[in-house]
Amino acid sequence: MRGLLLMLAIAFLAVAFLAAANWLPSLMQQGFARQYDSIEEAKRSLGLDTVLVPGYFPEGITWPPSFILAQKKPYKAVVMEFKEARAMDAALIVIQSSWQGSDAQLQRIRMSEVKEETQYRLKGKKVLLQVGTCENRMPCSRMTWREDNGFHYTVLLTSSPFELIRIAESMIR
Amino acid sequence: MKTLWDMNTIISSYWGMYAVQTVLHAAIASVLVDCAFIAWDIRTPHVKQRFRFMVIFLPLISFPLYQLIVPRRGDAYFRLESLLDSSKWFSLELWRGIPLFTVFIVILTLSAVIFVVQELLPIFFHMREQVRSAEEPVDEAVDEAVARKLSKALVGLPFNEELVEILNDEDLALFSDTGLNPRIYISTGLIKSFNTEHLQAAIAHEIGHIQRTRKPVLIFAYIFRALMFYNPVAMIEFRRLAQEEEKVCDDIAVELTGKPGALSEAVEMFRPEPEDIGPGAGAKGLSGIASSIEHYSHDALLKGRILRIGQRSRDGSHWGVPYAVTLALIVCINYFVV
Repeated sequence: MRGLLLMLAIAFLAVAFLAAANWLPSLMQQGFARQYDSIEEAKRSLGLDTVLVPGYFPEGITWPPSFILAQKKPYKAVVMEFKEARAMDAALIVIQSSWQGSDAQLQRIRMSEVKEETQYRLKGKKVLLQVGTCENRMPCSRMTWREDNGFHYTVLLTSSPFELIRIAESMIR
Repeated sequence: MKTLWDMNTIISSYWGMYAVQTVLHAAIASVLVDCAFIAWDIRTPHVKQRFRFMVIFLPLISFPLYQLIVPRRGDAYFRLESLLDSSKWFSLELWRGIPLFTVFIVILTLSAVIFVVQELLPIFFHMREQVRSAEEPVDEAVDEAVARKLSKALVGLPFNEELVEILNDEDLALFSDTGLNPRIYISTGLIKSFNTEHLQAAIAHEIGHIQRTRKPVLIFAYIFRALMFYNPVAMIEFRRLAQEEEKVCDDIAVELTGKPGALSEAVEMFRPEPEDIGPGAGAKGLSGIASSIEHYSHDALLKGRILRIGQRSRDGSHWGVPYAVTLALIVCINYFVV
């Protein structure tokens, strides 16, 4: 019994040590991924010049984002999640990232099946539109493009592509 | 900044995450296992081996299992809630934007090089040597007094005298081939230097190694460790496991001969000369320092064995609960380390 109690105490100390080790990098340098209350706070804290936000929202989805994740390290990224008024899960996800391969890490909802895919120009920008189903088996659509500032943008909507195109249109400069 | 981007490509890939997490999970398992030894006062070498085996084996399978259960374990949201997110440490910039991840890669590369040079190549050379010696049998006449002394030492030991090979060498050499046709090789120098009791104890230790091949924990540990050739923690744990094996064989030798004193004196005779240990010993330069360190660590191991033979103790059979608790703690804590 004494051994068990001692071991549990050691395990508690190990957990405390790991938690402290997880916190330490944030004390030494700024810019690691964390949740923010507002886009302005994220921009100010990380020194980001531009964060593109949608100017159009489908009915039921409203500003401000329900969840904001931003980071400067290891690459710059801002994730905004918007919920539908009465829903619990995110319905719209907007990702702005300096690394193209970041989608898998930053999308809380992922497309599990792409049924259709097309590439075309939207307001002069080459965009990729994908339509399919998401992990929760809901129909969803995704649009990705690259802005002149070097950032890659991904907009995912748990709905048909018509509203998605209007959201993306309101973002592309 | 390109380095950071490349780093991210590596650590966000499946195999990148696998490499990172095998090292981290092994390190945490190693600490917890050492703590378990203290908490439950575990001393018996073969019990310690079972725990150390866990440190080598668990990290190999933990990452794929965790990913199978929770495929989103590597994403930003899991990392936000995790106990330790390695990518934070790896992204820390050291100098001119060079991330700490570079240091991690250097450590992994060094471990891989050490594995090849110290563990893989010697096996290859040993096998080649064996093939050569099998092709060119050397039939050297052995002094009758030496052969008689050896026969006397083997009395009462469960080993066929014909399977003991005498090497015409004045140095102290004793080792065993634990393959399909087990053999013990012993030098004439050792037979002449040791008295019958010492000789018997030393041979009994080698018999221990041969008997232990029926429980090939070291072979499996070596295979798993080889699969994690880049993992410095697995390297250290494997070496500690091998050291425990020596202690297990010491216990077998004492059981076979019933003479712990003789075994302890025999081990004492293998200790390097004092002038070979410490600063300024032997050759100068880097090779001299390396040789001195090697002698020092070899001597420390032998000293540890001598001390343990003198105070041999058994833990009994109560290691099941400690093992299960330690295993559960490792699995639970490592799940939250990404």
